Amino acid sequence: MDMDKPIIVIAEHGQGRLRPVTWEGLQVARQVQQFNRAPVRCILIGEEVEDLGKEMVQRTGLEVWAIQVSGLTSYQGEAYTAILHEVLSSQPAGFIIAGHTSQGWDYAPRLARRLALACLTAVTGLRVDKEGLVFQRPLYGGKIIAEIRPRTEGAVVTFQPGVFKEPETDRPGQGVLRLIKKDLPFSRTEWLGLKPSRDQNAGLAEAEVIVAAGRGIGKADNLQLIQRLAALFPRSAVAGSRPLCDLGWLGYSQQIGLTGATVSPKLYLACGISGAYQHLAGMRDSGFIVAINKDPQAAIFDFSDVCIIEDLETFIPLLIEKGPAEKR
Amino acid sequence: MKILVCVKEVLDPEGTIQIDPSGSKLVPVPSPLFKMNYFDEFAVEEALVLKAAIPQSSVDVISVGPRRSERVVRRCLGMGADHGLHILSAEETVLSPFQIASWIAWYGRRHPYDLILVGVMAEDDMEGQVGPLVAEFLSLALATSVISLAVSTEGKAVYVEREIEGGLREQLKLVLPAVLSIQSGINRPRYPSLSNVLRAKKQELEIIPAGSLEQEPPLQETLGFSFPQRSRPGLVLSGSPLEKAAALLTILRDKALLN
Repeated sequence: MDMDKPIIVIAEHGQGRLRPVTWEGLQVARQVQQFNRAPVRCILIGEEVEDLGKEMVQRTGLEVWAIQVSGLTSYQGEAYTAILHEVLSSQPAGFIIAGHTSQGWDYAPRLARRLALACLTAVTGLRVDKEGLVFQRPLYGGKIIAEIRPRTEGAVVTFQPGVFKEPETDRPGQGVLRLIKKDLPFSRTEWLGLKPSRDQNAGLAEAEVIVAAGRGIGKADNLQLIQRLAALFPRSAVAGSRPLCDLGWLGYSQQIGLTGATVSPKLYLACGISGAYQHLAGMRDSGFIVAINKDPQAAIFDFSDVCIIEDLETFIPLLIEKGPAEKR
Repeated sequence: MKILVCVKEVLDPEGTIQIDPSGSKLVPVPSPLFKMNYFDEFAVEEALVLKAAIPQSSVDVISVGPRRSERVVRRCLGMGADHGLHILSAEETVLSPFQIASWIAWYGRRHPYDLILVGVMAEDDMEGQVGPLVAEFLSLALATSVISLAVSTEGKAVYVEREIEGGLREQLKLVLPAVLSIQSGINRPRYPSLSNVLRAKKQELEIIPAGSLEQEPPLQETLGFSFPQRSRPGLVLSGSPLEKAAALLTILRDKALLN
C-alpha cells in the first residue's frame, strides 16, 4: 500500500452550511489513519465554497481544497463525479470517504469505477488486521454484518450517517485552504429546484413516547392496536417505518428514518419493525427503546433496551389491557 | 419508448439467516425463501405505468442470477412486462455490483433503451450500486432515489423528483436515454394477473450464459460474516405473553415512562 496517497474526505453542504455528516467523515478518516498514516485532506465542491472552506480549515486544521465551480448552485451527480475524477486523477488518493447520503450513494459508484477503485457503500465500522483495513457493512436489513477488504490500493467508501460520532472539539492546526476554480462540466442533468417532500412531522418532534409500526404488523387493521397502545401514554404519537407509508397505511409525515423524520423521544416502542439501518438512522438516539417482534433475529433487537419476542396480535392487547394504572 | 427494468432475486430478509461455523457462508434456515427484491417491484410498476401512457412502448426485464432467478423474471412478465432476459450465472457465486452492471450494460449497448429503471437498492446486499454503475458503463444520465417521474411530451427528456435528506425533493430534468433508481412509495406495485401469468408460462425467456460474457476482476473480497453487536442491553423478557406484558409494564413504570 502506498502510504503517501492522502485520505480524502468529501464535505457535504447545502443551503450555505456544512452538514454534520462532514465531521463524521473526518472521524472515519481518523480511523483509516490508524492503519494508513497518510494525511487527511478535505474536498469541498460548489459555487460559493470559499467561506465554507475557511470554516473547515479553522475547525479541522487540515488541508482543504475548495473547488469553485461557477453555475454549480446545488449538488449535481455528473458534475461531482467529473470534478472529483479530474482532481483525484492528477493527485491520486487512497481512501475517498463520503457519507452514504443522497449525494454519496449517487456519485460514489461512478467515481470508484472511473478511478478503478473498489466501492464500499453504507459502511458501519472498520478495523485493522495484519493485512490492512477491513470494512464492516450491514446486509439483510442489518441482520448480518459482512467484513470486506478492498483489493485495490484504497477505495471509495460511503459510511452510514450517525454511526461515526462527530468529534466534540475542533482541532485547529496548520490548515491551509486551496481555492481551485473549475468550469461546470457537461451534464445531461439539469437541476430545476427543491421542494418540500411532504407535510412536515405529525407531532413527532414533540412526542415523549413514539409507538412505531413496521411491516411486521401484518395487516392495516392492526394499526388500531398501535393507536390504542399509544393512547396509554400521554404526549405520545404513532409513527412507522417506510414500508407502511409505501403501502399507504400511514402518511409519510409519520415516517421515521433516513428519508423521514429523525426523533429521540423518551420512549420508542418499535412494533413489528425489522430495524433496517434506514429506520435506525431516525430513532437510534431515543432514550429507551423497546422492540416487539416475532422474528428473534430482527436487527432492531440489537438496538433495544428491552426485547419482546412475541406476536403483536397476541402481545399488544395484553399490554393495552394491563397497561392502565391500577386503582389503589 | 423502450424501457429496461433490472430486477434481482433476493433471499427474503424477513426469514432466519444463520452463518456457517467457518463464518464464511450464509445459511438460510429452515429452507431458503427467495423473492423479488422489494424495491424492484416499484421499478417494474413504474415502467408498466409509462408503457400504458406512452404509445408504442415496451418493457423488457433483465435479471442476473442463477437458474432459480428465472422466477422473478417470470413474475415481472406476470405483472405485464413484454420480454424477459436472464443472464444466467453460476450457482452460489457472489457477484460484485461492477460485474452485474457490466453485464447489464453489455446488453444495453446491443439493444439501446430510452430508459433503464432499477430499484433503489437490493434488500440483501443493500449496496445501491448497480444502477449508478449501469449509467457509468453506458455513459448515461442518472438520477437516484426517484420518487416522481414524468416523460416530456416530445419524449426526449424525463422530469424527476429525487428524495433527499431534510424532507426535501430535488427536481431534475434528464436528457434521455437515462438510468433511474426508483425509490419505494412512488406507486403501488400491482400483483401479477392471471392472464399475464398464463401468458408468461408459455413465453420463452432470452437466456444468456454469464460465462460467455466478459468477467470483471474482483476489486474486493468478502472475508466473512457475523451477527451485529448489540449497542444496548437488549434485555430479552421471558415467560408467557402475559408475564412478559406485566414485566414490560413494571420496567416502564420503574423508569417513569408510564403512570
